[in-house]
Amino acid sequence: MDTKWKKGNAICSFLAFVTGLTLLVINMVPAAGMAAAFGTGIFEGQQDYQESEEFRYLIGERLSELMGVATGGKAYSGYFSDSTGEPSEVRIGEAQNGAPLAQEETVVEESADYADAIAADFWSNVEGPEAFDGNWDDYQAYLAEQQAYYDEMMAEYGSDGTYDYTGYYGGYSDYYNYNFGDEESRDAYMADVAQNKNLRYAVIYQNKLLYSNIEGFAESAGEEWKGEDFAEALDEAAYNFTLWYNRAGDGKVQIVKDGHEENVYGDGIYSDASRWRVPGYANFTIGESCKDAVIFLAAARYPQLYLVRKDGTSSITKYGGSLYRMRWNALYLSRAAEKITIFMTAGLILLAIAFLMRKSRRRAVEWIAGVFGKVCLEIKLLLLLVMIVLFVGMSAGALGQLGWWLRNGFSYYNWSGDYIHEMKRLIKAGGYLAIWFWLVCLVVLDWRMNRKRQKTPLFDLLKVKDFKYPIQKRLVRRQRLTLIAELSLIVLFAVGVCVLWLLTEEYMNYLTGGYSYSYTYDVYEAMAEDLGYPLELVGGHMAWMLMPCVVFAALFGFTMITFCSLKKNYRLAVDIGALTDQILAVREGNLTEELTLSEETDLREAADNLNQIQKGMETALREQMKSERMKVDLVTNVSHDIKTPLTSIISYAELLRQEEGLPQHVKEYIQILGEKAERLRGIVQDVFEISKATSGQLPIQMEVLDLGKLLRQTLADMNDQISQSSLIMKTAIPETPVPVFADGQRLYRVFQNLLQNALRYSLEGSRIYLTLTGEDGRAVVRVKNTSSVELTDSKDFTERFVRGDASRTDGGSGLGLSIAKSFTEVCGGSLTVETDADLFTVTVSFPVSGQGTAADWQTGAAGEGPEPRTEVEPV
Amino acid sequence: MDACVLVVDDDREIVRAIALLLEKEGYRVLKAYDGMEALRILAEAEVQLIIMDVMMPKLDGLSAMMKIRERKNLPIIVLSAKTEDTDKILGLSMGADDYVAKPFNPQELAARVKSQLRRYTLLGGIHAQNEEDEIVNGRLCYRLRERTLYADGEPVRLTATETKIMELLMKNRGRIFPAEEIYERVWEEPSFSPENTVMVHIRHIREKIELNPKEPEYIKVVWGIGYKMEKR
Repeated sequence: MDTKWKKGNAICSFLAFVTGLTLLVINMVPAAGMAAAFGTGIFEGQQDYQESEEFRYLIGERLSELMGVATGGKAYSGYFSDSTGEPSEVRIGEAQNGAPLAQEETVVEESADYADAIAADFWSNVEGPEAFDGNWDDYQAYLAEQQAYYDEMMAEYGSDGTYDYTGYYGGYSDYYNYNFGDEESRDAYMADVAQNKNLRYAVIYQNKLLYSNIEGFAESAGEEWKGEDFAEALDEAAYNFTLWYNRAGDGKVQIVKDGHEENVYGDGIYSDASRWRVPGYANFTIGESCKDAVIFLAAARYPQLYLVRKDGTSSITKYGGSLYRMRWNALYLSRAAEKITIFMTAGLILLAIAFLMRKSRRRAVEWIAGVFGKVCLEIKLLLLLVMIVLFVGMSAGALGQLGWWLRNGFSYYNWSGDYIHEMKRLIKAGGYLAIWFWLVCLVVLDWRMNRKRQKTPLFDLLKVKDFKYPIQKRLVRRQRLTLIAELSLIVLFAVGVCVLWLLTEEYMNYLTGGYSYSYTYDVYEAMAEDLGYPLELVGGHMAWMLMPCVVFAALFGFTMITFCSLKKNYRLAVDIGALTDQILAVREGNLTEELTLSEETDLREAADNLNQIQKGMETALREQMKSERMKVDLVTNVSHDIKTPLTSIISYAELLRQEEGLPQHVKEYIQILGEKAERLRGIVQDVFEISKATSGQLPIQMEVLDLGKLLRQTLADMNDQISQSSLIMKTAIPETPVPVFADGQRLYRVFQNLLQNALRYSLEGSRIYLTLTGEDGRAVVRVKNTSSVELTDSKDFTERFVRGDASRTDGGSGLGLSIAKSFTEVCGGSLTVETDADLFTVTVSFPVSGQGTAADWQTGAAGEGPEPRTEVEPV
Repeated sequence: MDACVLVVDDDREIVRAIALLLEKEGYRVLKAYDGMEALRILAEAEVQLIIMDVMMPKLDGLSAMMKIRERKNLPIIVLSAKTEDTDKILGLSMGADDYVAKPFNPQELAARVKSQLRRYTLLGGIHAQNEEDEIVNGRLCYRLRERTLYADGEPVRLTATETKIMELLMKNRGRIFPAEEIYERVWEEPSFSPENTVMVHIRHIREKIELNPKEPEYIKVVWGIGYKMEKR
């Protein structure tokens, strides 16, 4: 129950936090836009559209236009028509050449003859303004050129040339010149204007009422104006704004709003800060003819649309759009501001709640981080990449417009007046901003919470640090390059798509002033053209979208294939490592543990065979060990059994020796008996030792010792034997220490045996050479002597019971060299015997112990440097 | 000298040979052919020393020795055909005073019996006399003030150089001395190939103090390193 409550708390807190922050971020953008718009006059019209600067501007323009109508002069105006909010839809008035302008469709319908067709075709081939990158001056020059060419062509065809570019591109053209001097076209124009009931007017020239759309006066056009107040004819509640120009003949404007007269001129001097741009300022000069004109204007309190379906056309025309739109924009803006305020307040409240419950929220955040932590990094990166590409493309338009905004400021849209559209775009931009915000939040959260425990199963395959053997590293490294190249390509490609998309959006923004989305297709075409592609190959938007998808899919596929084969290679590398380890273990003598690799390994045969070899070796070794042990047991038992009777023999020989009164020859026999018993004892001891040494059951104590010193000690020990013999000992032993790692006791036996051998079998009076030298990091001891008997080359003197002389009558057991060889090998050295004629050479070599220094072994207590290892093998 | 020695071995000839040998030296000898018999004789007769084989029927030497050691403190020399170091260590640690490997030199055995008996009978109670100027090491005892070495309580005749070497080694029992160091300390001059000189003196000392100079118990060569006095 408690945990459920906690869980609910965590979810509530988290939702409040996320919703609150999202609301804030989304509404921040339009709010900022609105804040930027403060002081630009937009908000003044929020409650009453007539208070807006736009309205004042429009009234000024309308007055000026009507003055033009009154005086029959040329009008020069921007958005001249009040008839509609979409000037491109309907065009009224006269073109410069006097030909009436009508809708595009009408024009096409009427083009009956050949010249007309050519004309229509001609103009449809004329470049649009897009081709000029928005450079209006160039475009105008181009149009003038085309017009001249067209005129020439039309003259050739004998046409009267009733068409021109304004018919086609009027929507883009801000410039229209009207000749109100022509009564017919003026009438047509005013007939159009009259349909707009939001703005009532009366035009009086030289006291003659020319035009009016006020009930009761429209019909009396052309009659004399007797000073009637038109305002009286109107419902004051419906038309709360009236303007008189020159009513009193003073050339000034009077404005009455809601029954109150407004101070129009201020200090009487027109400046940028002045509210109304109407004649009557001290610094506003108007033509003489205008002084004969009197204009009345009245604006509706609640403007509405007036729809007209005219005869002879196919379209419905809207009138009164300007004021209607002005009012609704103002209302919309104020409602939007309200809504934004509500949303932001709600966001703040939610955030406050989330702040109060922040402890519960941490649980939710941790839970989310936990969920993310379980997803492996590769998938997250891929998703992030896809999302970035998608969102960059999608949000580029909206955020690009935000950029446009930041560059140009809200005031840029002051006069465009399409606030509804603007607000929607800003909110959209806010939405994208929120998406980006949360994306970044998620990435940061994941990085912060999951960095340490992040699983990267695929990237782990790239690591070679843990591998022991170079072949493993090579195996993985070989494929790593391909993979890195492919991954880089994917990222590069994603970046490329993003940049392309961004550029496209930016280009579009530039062309359309950040307005329209309907140009996408054209823009791709234009871009293709710019890049030099034939247009036919482009195949439209879809092709442009499909191409990157196909390339991306291909890249992704290749990468996955590489990953799969890398995974296999990685496992192969691991298996090779295990196999190599096993081979090493077998080499070191560990035969018991079997190699187990996974079922589908590529090395199955190798592993199986190795296991078989291992098993075979183990069996063989066990057999051998068994037989060796039996041999040792046998030798031990035999020597023990020999020793007991030998004890008696020796003891009684001694007793006999002590016996007095025996004849001399008997004493000699006893002497021989004693000597031979002693020799038998020696042989038994030797046999015992050699059998132990060769079966590896000899306990040894390895330590660092000086081989030179050992030789000198041995020589000193055997000094008596040497001096008693007829032989001369020649030694060359360096004074400097020659450290080797060996068992001193065993090594002494080696050299004792070698020297005894030399003393025993050397030619009388010859020399024995004992040398110690260093060769290739090995300490080499050589004992050379001249044999007293002829040596046979083929004999292996280190075999047991082998002697130079086959008669076996000398004092040796035939085991001396064999023991020496066994002991040397037990200590890690090597012993070889060479014969050259009668020269007998025994070479003993040991690796010089690098660690050993003179100081370490001189005292015998080898403390820090070399570790005196003590190996006592079980007997 | 009418000390009584008990000889135990399952090999009757060996027992007889040892008995003959020891009787010649003037000892009284009792014979036993297994461990049980030895224990029985011990319970009846006054015995000063036991020579005992390890491998015997009924009760082996080591077990018999443990039983004897429960009550008696007399010297025991173990005889065995086993010559492994581990066998020797096992025998000595279970209460043997000495260990002689078969086949042995009869003269050596006699010398060991003599040494053990002398220590048991003569020096048994002398330990209290152990003063500061005395360095005792097993059978050996060096008196600093007298500059004399005693083996089994009897003074050993040493030359001046030998005495110096013994003083050095007895003072530093267990420490390994390279030949150069011994030479420099004893002869008090720099050494040049001292191995031979030192070795000759050591051999002479061994002949005077060791029971079997070929298998020295006290002055040992540490091959490839130096010489040392074994701690006993």
